[in-house]
Amino acid sequence: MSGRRWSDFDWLLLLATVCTVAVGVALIYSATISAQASEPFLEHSYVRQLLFGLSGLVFLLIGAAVDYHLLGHGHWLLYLAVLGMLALVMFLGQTGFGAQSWLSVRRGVQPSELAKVLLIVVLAKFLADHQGQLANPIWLVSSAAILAIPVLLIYKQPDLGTALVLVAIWLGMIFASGARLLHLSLLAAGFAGSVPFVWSAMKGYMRERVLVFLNPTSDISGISYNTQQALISIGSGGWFGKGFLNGTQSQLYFLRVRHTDYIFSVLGEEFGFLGALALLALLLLILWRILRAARMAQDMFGRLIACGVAVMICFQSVVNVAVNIGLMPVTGLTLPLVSYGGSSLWATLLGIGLVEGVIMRHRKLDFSS
Amino acid sequence: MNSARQAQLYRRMLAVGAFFLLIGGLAVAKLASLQGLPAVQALPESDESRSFEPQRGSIFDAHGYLLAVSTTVYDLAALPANITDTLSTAGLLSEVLHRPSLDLLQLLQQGKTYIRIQRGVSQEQADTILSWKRSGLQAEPRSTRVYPNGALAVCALGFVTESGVASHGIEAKYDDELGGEPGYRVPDRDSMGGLVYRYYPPHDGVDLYLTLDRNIQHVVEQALERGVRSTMASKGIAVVMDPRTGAILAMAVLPDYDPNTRIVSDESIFVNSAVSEAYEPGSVFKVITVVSALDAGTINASSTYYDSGEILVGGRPIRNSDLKAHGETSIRDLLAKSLNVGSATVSGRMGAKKFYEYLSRFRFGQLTGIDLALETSGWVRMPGNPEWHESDLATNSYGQGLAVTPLQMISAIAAVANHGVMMRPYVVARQVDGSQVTEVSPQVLRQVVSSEAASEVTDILVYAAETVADIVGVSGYSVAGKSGTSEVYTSSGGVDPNETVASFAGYAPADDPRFAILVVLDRPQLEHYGTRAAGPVFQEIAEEMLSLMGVPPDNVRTGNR
Repeated sequence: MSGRRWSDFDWLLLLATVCTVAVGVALIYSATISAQASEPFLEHSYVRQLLFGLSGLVFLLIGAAVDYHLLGHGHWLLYLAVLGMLALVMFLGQTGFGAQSWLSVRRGVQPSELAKVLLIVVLAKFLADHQGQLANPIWLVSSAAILAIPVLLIYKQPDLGTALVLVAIWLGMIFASGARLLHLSLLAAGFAGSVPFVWSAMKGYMRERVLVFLNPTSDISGISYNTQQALISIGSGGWFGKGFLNGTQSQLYFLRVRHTDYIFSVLGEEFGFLGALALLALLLLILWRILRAARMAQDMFGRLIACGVAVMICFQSVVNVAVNIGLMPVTGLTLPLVSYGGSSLWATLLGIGLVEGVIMRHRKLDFSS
Repeated sequence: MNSARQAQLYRRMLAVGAFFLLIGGLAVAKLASLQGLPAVQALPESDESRSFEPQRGSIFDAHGYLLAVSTTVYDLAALPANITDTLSTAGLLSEVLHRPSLDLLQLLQQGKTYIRIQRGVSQEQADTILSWKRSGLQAEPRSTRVYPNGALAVCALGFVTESGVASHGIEAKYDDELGGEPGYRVPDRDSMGGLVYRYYPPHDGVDLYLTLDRNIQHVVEQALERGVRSTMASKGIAVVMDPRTGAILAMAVLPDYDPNTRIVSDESIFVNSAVSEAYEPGSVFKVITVVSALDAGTINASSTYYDSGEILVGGRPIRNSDLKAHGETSIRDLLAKSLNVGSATVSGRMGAKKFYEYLSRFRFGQLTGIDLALETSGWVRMPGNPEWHESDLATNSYGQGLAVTPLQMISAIAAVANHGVMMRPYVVARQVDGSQVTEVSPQVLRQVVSSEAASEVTDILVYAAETVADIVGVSGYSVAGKSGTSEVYTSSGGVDPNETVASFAGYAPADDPRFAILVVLDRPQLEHYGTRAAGPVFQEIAEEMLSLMGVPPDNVRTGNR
C-alpha cells in the first residue's frame, strides 16, 4: 500500500490539460456560434463543453484521490460493469450520428468512452499480476480474450474507431509490460494475414471509406467531401491563420461535424500552421508528463495504467489529426480534450486523473508496510 | 524486479512515446506541405457576385391593421412559337385570368416572338399556370407593394414604384429601415484554389407601427370628403394630433389617389400638402398672437383695447374684416369676433422683438421634425430681413403675410391645448425588427407658453366656439376652437373675395384635450368663410372621435372628480 501525497500532484500536467480543454471550447465557440445564435445560452455547444470540462475536472480530482490499487482489487467487477454497459447499449441504445452508442437517457453518455478508461485499469491489473509469466503466450492470449468481448460489442454498435483505440491500447500495454518481441512479431504477421478476412467482415460504409481514402477519385457518393473540405480549411489557414472567428470554411458551413471530428481543421484555418503546431505541442507536453508518471510509478500496475492512458490519448489524437489532414481514412475518432463531446471529455479527464493518482503514490512508504 | 528488466521496460515505454512522436512529426510535415500548395487563381468577374433581395417591411396602423405590405406578383408572358395548342391554352388562361378567351386567343396568335399577356398576376394564378407545364408560357416574379386599404392615409404613407423606388411619406422617410439590407455572395478562393462563395443572407426590413388609427383616419377622410364636395373646394387638408404626445392620429389630403395604381393626371397630387406646402393661416393665427401676449405679460385676461375699426401700422391701414369699429373690446371678443385691429394692437404692444421671438418658440419658419418625407419649413419674414416691413407685425398677427404648413399650425394649437407644452409631431410609434421592438417615445420640444396663459386662451376659445356652437360644437362636450379665413392673391396681385382659404382649428374636451384638429379647405366655392366652410368638417370629426375614443361627456367626467 502507499500513501497519497498531493505535493506530488503533477500541476504541469493539469495545466496542459486545462489549456487544451480551453482551446477546445474556443474552437467550438467559433465553429458553432453562427449556427446557434437563436438557441438558449445553456444549449450552446461551447457552453455545454465548458460545463463538461468543469465537471470533468471533478472526475479528474476523484480519479487522483482514489487509490488505484482499490480499483485493482475490484478489477473483475469493473470488467463486468463495462460489459454490462455495452450490452445495455446494444439493447437500449438509440441511434445518433449513425452509431448506436448513446444510451437513451437525456444528456446521454457514451458508455464506450468510459469503457476505454475502465478497460485500461482492468488490463493493467491483469498484466501486472502476470508480469512474471508473460514469456508464456497463454497470458497474452488471455489478455486478448479479455479485450475481445468489449471490442466486439463496440464494433457492433457500430463504432470502428473506438474499437481500434482499444486494440491500440492493448498493443501498447502488452508491449510496455514486456511481452516478448517474438510474440509481438507473430502477432503482427497474424494481423497482416487476417486483413482479407477483416475486409470481408467490414460493413459497407467502412469499406467505402477505405476505398475512397485509397483513391479519392473513386468517390461517387461524396464521402471524401468532409476530408476535402478539411484539407481546404487547413490549407487556407496558411502559416498564421485567418484569425479567430474568421474562417470561411468553418464559419460558412462547408465543414460538416466541424465541432467534433473536424475541430482540428477549424484550428488550422483560423490559427494556421502555428496554431496547429501549438496544439500538438500541448498534446506532446501531456504525453511527456504521462510517460514521466509511468517511469516514476511505484509498481507495474500504476505504470501500465499511465501507459494505457498515454496510448489512448495519443492514438486518438494522431488518428484524428491524420484524418483531418488526409493521411488516413475517416474513422470518426474525436480529438481528445478538444472535440465537442461530454462523454469523451469526461473519460479523458478521468484517465488523466488516474495518472495523477499514480504519480501521487509513486513513493514507496517502507515504514507503513 | 532487477534493474536490467527495469531498463528494458523503460526503453519500451520510450519506444511507445517515440512511435507517437514519429507519427506526430509526419503530421507536422504533411501540415507544412498543405500550406504551400495552391497557386490562387484570379477571382471570376464580378458578375459572379449576386445580391439577394430582402423583404420590405410592412406598415401597420396603431392597432396592427395592415396598411402596406410587399408581396410577389408575376408578369405573365408567352412565346407564341413554342405554344403547341393555342386554342386550349387560351381557354385555360381565360379561366384563370378571368378574361375572355377570344381576347387571349387573339393575343397568342400575333406573329410576335414574345408577348406580354398580363402584368401583376397573383402567386396562386401563376402557380396554377405553371403547374400545367405548357411550353411557351413564362411567369417572371417581381416584388410589389400592396396597399390593402387603397387611398386610405395615402398622403402619410407615400408609395413604392414598380421599380422599387420609395416616394413620399413614410415609405420615403423610412426607406432605409423598411428596405432592409440585401444579402449577397462574393466569390472567394480557398487556398486549394477552389472557388467558394461567401454568402451573407439578406436582412429583411423592419415593420412600422404608426400612430395613425385606421378608424379615425376613415372618419377624417369621410368628413373631409363631404366638406370638400359640399363647398366645392379645390383641396382639403385635415390633421388630427394627440396634443399630449404629438402623435398624429390621422392625416388626410384630398383629392387623393390610389397608391396601388397611381393613375393621376397631375403628379402634384402626390405632394402631401399637410407637411410639404405652406398656406396663409389667417385668423387661426390670432390664437398664437394672444397666447404669446398673455405669456409675455403684455396683456392679461381682463385687458381691453379701443377698437376704432382701423389703425395705421408702418403707414399702412389695418381694418377689421367686417370693416366695422367695435369700441372698447375685451380680449375674449377680440378672438370671438376675430378682430384684425385687435390682434394688430396686441402685437404692436408686444413689439416686434417679442412677437417674433414667440413665433420662433412655436417653431414657425422651422421644421417640426415630423418623420415624413419632404417637410417644408414654411415662410416667415423676420425683422432684419430686408423685405420685412413694419406693417408685417400687424398682418402677421392675424395670419397674413406669412406661410405655415398645416402641420406647424396644428402643432402650435396642440401646444396651447397641452398646457403650453409643445410636442414633436410623429407618425411612427414602433419599429419591429424581427424580435427587436423599438418604441418611439413622445418628445417634448419645449414649454412654449405658461400653463396659465394656455388655459386662459383655452377658456376664450371655448367661448369663441360656443358663439358658433351649432356649426362646430358637440353637445355635452366643451370644445375650443378658432376659425380662419385668408384671402388668396390672384395672379394679377389683387384679392378676390371669393377666393379664400377657409380653416378651423380646435380641440376637445377643452379642459383635458384628447385630440386637436385642423381642417383647411382651399378655395371653397359655395362657402368662403372659415367657420361655415371648415367648421362642419371639424364638428363631424370631433363628434365621431369623442365617441370612437369613448370619451365621457363633460358632466360625467367632472362629476366623477
